[in-house]
Amino acid sequence: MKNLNILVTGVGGQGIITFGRVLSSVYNKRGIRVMMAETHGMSQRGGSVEVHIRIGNIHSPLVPIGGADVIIGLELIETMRVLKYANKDTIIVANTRMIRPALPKINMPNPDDLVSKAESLGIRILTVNAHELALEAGSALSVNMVMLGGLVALDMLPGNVTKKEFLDVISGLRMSEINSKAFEMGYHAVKTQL
Amino acid sequence: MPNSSESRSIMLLGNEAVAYGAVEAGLEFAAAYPGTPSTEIVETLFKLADKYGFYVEWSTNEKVALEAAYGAAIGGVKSLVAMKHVGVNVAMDPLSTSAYTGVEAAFVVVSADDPDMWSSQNEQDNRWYGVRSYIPVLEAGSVLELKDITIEAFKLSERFKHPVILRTTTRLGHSRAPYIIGELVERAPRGKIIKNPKKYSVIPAHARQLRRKLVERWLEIEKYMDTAGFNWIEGDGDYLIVTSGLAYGYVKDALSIMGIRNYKILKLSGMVPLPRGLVKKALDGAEKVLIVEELEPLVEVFLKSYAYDEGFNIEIHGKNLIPLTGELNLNKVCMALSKFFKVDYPYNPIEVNIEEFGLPPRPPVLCPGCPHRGTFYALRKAVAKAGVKPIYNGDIGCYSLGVLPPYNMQDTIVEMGGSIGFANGFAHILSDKEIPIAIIGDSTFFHSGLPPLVNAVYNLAPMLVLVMDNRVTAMTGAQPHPGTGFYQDGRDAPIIDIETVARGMGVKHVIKFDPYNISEAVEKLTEALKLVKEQRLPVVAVAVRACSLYIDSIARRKGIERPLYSIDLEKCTACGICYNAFSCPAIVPLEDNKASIDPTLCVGCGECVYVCPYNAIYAARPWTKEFESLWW
Repeated sequence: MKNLNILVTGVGGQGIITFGRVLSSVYNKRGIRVMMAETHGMSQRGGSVEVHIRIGNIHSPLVPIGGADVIIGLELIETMRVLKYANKDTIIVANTRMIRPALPKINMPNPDDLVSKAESLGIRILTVNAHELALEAGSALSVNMVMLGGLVALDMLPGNVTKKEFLDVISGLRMSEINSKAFEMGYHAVKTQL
Repeated sequence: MPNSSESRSIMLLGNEAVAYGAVEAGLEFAAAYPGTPSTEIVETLFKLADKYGFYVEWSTNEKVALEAAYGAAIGGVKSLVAMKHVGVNVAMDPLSTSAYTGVEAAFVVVSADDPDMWSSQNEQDNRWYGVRSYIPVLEAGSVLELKDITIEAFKLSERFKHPVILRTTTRLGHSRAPYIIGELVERAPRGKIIKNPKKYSVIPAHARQLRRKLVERWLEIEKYMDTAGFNWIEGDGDYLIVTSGLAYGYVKDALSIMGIRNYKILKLSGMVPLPRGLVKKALDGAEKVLIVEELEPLVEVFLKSYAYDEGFNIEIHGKNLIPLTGELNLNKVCMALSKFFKVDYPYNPIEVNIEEFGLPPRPPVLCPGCPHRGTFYALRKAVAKAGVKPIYNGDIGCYSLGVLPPYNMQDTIVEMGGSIGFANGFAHILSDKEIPIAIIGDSTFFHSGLPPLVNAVYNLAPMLVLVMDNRVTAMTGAQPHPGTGFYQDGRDAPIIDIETVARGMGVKHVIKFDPYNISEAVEKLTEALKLVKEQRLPVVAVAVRACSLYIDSIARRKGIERPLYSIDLEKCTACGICYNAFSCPAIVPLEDNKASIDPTLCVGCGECVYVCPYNAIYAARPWTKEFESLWW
């Protein structure tokens, strides 16, 4: 089995740790080794949050710079901030939504510009309007599950884990119906782009 | 096994694994002061305490916590104390002598270090505390080993009746990995009175005896480290890699990624004292050596000195290849291995100049509804009204974020209690119009604000001490403290009232206000500053309003709908005061620069109503009695 390095990024409060916990739970149930590094403490206060997840025969949880196989960005500015983790084979799935940092007199970049700048570096980036999809599923808080569906759709996860295994874990979460729907919507949004 | 579900591997946060390891090892007494990245250890113990019958408490500071656990261990009860790395500085006085006396039962001191300073003021390497205090130091070789190493720490401490430092780091404590929980049994701790002053009353005559015995015991502990199961040699290559603590995990991964085979590893999870027997075995026949350790060259210093004594004439690399600062990662370790083994570095990141992307910064900020925002806003206005020139001596807590724009109101922040401490200096060297304002939180006030406040009263130091009382230890996740009124499990606790404490210490003027009422806050703070200016005495102001994040979490749990505020776009003039000068994360500008409140972020505090000069902010969903009853 090939090892996989996944970096998930976004803003505190977006459910990034839940994203990682669902993913790692699926692997742990299978008895496949998974490690997840969290940036705690600051996460509740609207700061940048990264979760590193490594799967396979591994002994350390941090994804190396230039070593991410997949980057999942729940917020577009934060997705761009972690581009150093990408190499020419990395696939990025990015939510197009931007969240304004709560600082005075902030100039917000243009989201289309950001995506094309990243593409011009030769990075493969798939975009999803996860906020819209989550609202359609029933809650803005389900952006994380939309993006998790997007990750599964890439068909890169080792161990042939199935969509159903994810839905089983999601069914144990709060708002499981909305979250399952969001997961499916994210799955299809990415699948159709492949 | 109690039941089959507990024999399966479960995903645990590293800190949870430490807690489970301690309970598995027979823990009977635990104490701590919260501090990232250690907090979840004792939070987890609280959840297990009733079921398994051990005692656990949040103490007022790390020194008190350490003394409590040390005392319990002298009384024959297996104890643990946990704190962040800088907390050990606070507890250093008793810890420094604990190895002299030893204990009657296991005494494990968890030091949670913070390489890279994710949420700390420095990245001190607390393995050195073991060296200078004759206390053995254990650290897991990878996240996977954390629970087992915790059990080993208890075993070692119990065997030698000697304190042990279990060193973790942010990476170890805040990573999630699979663990199998062993058997947990109920216990009923009962200590005993100890009458052995020659051992436990460290007057000079006794201490000299104890010191001689300590040095002998240290050699025994070193021998134990040679054969203990957590230190080993693996592989039989020509090049030796020595790893300290979690460096082992990175080295294992890096070797496999880079396809390197000609190596052997000396894996040290117990590095203080350095197991010289094992080191000698590893050095024998090695062509050259690379020591991989995070932060300081501790193993390097001792290993090089030992290699010299033993006449090994080999190349030894360490901090010349592994950076001295910041936490380890695969990039750093692969880079060092590529130089050491002369093989290619495996990563080829995309070349990106991130400056060109024009990304706005995103530091952590005060939460929506944070009472500190109102206090800072009011304090700035009060300073102008009172006509004083302040220096803001800040402290450790959420209010440290007041260092950021738009507030810029933390001129110094160094350590817990340093606010009032520093003000004691500034108070005597400034002109009459220049006033030190010490800004300190409620939990920090109890932790180490009391002695410097007594000092200010006694030495007539003019200053404003502003206690931002949000009722809980908010920064680390709302743990209760002596002013809170309840314990971690929700039971009622005695309240030590800050206002009464200050008056009892002889502070003549103590002023209390609610930071959600900003107009009142401005008035009260102006009065307080004028009193300092005129009377040249310390004045205490207490801003009382519970942490909004905490209240919001209770409201959600109880299903109580929170209030909601909204902008009247007819009245809004797009002045930007609410989102620029006040900077609530829930208030965002629209395309035309008028304000808008994000209903998913707004917690309904209503502070912004006072801030808007055009009365454009209104309660779309006003406060209910039910919501109000959540505050205390």
